[in-house]
Amino acid sequence: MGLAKFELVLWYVSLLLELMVCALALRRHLYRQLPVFTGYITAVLVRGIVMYGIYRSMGYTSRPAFYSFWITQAALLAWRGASIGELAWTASHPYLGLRVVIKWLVAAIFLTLLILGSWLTIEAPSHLPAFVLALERDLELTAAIVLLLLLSLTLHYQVILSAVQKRIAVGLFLYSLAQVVNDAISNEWLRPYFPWWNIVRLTSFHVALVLWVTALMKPIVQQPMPGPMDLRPIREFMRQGTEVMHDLSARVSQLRKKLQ
Amino acid sequence: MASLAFFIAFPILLVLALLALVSKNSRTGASHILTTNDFLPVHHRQFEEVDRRLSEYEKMLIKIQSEQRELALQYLVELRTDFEQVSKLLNRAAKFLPEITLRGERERFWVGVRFRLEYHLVQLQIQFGVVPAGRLEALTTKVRFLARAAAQVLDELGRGNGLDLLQSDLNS
Repeated sequence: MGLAKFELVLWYVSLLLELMVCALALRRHLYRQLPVFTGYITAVLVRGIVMYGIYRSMGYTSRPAFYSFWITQAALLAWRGASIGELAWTASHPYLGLRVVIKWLVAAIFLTLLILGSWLTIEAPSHLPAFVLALERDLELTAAIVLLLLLSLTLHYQVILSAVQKRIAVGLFLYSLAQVVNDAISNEWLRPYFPWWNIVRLTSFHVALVLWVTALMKPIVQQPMPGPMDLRPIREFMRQGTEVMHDLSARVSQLRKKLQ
Repeated sequence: MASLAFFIAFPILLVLALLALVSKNSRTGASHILTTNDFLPVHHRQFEEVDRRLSEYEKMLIKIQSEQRELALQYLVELRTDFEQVSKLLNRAAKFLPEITLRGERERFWVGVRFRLEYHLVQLQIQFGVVPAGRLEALTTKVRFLARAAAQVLDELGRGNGLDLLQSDLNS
């Protein structure tokens, strides 16, 4: 097959964890909440099985293995980007006004980084692995920044994300960052570093998979999304808003009394 | 090598930013547990008086100029508390408004940044024995601007969702 024993063990662990996440995602009906992410994780598992088959039958260093790996790597990268978009969409879905801000801010940051990333990639060496690694590095950095921005906005506007959504976002974030560093190092020392590139890629993905397994171990608690006629969240907000405004003027009066 | 250093340092900064977010999130209080009272009609009144009461800030400023440093610091702390409360209120309100604009949010963001910078500057000046009346007035104006915006938002939400309007005493 051409893979070292240690790499083979990492492959088997990957396949096992991916299978666990897929099984749990189906059991918890995650496809109802996050169909794109569920599709992504299924695609990762299918790709792992297919690549394993290709490595066994044609060898790790064969041309079909080379092209299959990089083409599917690019496809999964795009699918992962779509999963991030899905997270942003589902987080802001009940809040029409807020969706405007999230949509424009996330789109602006994404496009700026994509243009910058494309320009940097054009400067990169023209042979295929180095080119793809440079492109992947920049796209992964874009994904990480978009995810951090999304998490910041949800905290800023106190939009509730479910535990599953948070762990999926953090898992994607950590994996993207690990790939940024991994791809940057391999860009400098491609040939000697490449075996390590694969090990770091697999190990960092294991961290994300473990996070997703722990997120899906418990039944998913469906957050009660407010419908258009549901006044309860607004009532709660009005109650707290009234308290804040009351305290505001009460503090001014108290301070005035102290000064008198 | 420079790009390698950048692509290693920047992810580390992003991880630190995530950890800062997580620690900030864990520090926010528990959400309100619904009780029977929450299902009673919400008493909301239009806060025309908020602006009038907040005009007392101006009267206090005149007094503070001739008072001790501690009073000025106390005033500054109260102002900061009010600013944070109102900012959080407006952040939460954004979810319920049918329309918010990127421009409006950007302006609010810059008001917040300028307030925090000026707050620290004023705090330093007061600690050195100077009471900067002009800067305190500028900070007060920002708090009043946000408080007016918050009052308008509460009005809009109250009217838009048909919540009961009842007279109530702000001082009660």
